[in-house]
Amino acid sequence: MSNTTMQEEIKINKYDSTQLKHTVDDHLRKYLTSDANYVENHQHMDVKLSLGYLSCLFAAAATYYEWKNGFQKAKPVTLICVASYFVINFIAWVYAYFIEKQDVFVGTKDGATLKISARLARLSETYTLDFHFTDGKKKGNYTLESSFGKWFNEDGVLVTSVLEADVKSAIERSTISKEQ
Amino acid sequence: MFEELRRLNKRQVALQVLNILMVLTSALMIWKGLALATNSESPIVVVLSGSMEPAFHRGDLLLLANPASQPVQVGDICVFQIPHRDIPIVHRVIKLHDEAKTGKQFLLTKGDNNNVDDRGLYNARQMWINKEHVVGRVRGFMPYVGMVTILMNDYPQLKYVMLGVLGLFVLIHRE
Repeated sequence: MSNTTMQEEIKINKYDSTQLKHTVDDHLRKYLTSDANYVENHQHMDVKLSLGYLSCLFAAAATYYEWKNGFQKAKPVTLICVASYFVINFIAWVYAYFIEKQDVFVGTKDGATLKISARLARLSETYTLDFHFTDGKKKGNYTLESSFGKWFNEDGVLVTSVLEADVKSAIERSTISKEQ
Repeated sequence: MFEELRRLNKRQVALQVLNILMVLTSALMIWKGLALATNSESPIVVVLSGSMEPAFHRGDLLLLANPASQPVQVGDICVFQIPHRDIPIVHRVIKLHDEAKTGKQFLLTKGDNNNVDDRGLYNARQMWINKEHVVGRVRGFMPYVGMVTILMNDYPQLKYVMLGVLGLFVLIHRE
């Protein structure tokens, strides 16, 4: 891939599986949006951020109102704020657990939607990426199962060309199955 | 470790900042929930002096409740805050008067380990404290757990070092 030569080297601690996953996910998104021309759908992140910051607003409001009015007088407002805080965070948890699940990328190109969800078992180096391709009524799936060892070299540097080639072929295979 | 932080996009940075805020606000809101449940502004306090020995020692953690329906009784150990003073006091109620018309309560307190009652600790010419000054009544205690708080009060820098380390860790560590 000629367009990757300009990029800076991404070097991480190869013994940290969280870092390995995040590095792969981040580069996946970067490749799909800048090289493969997908438009990323930020809905999951935006929902998470808005709910989170909204709950923080309630915490700030409760603190400010109680500081201004004293504990006894502020009790009804404090109760509303505390209840809202926990309800909002519960909604955020429900969203993450039942709707976002393990999605690492959702994006569209030419009316077609590509969703990639990831699975990484604890203490495992096998990273599984499920590609779901939807174009109107046509649907395709492809599962890419790979090892972090194929995408990172001995020094913990991400070999972007290999990862990008794997992702590219996975997308192609997921789109082929839709045409059948 | 910082390179990873530098590679994040705007949304990811906002998420890392949100993680720090969630650590702080969740602790704060659990505290406020506890305060509402016990009707006590500060449901957990640390004993700072030996004036209630042998019941409580310096560093003991006290669990308080202040049910609005229950009046204070003689013998209750109360945490109270004298107006315009920073530090609340934990002492036992030794005398109590109820005003029949208004239901207002007048309390006199004394530390079990002190020789005299608390009138010397109250504001000048203040003879009694009222139920409004009571933050909570002691319902339980955990010995020595509060020593951490005393250490942090004695060495305030420790608090900021711990907060700083914790904050930095949350900021650079992704789930």
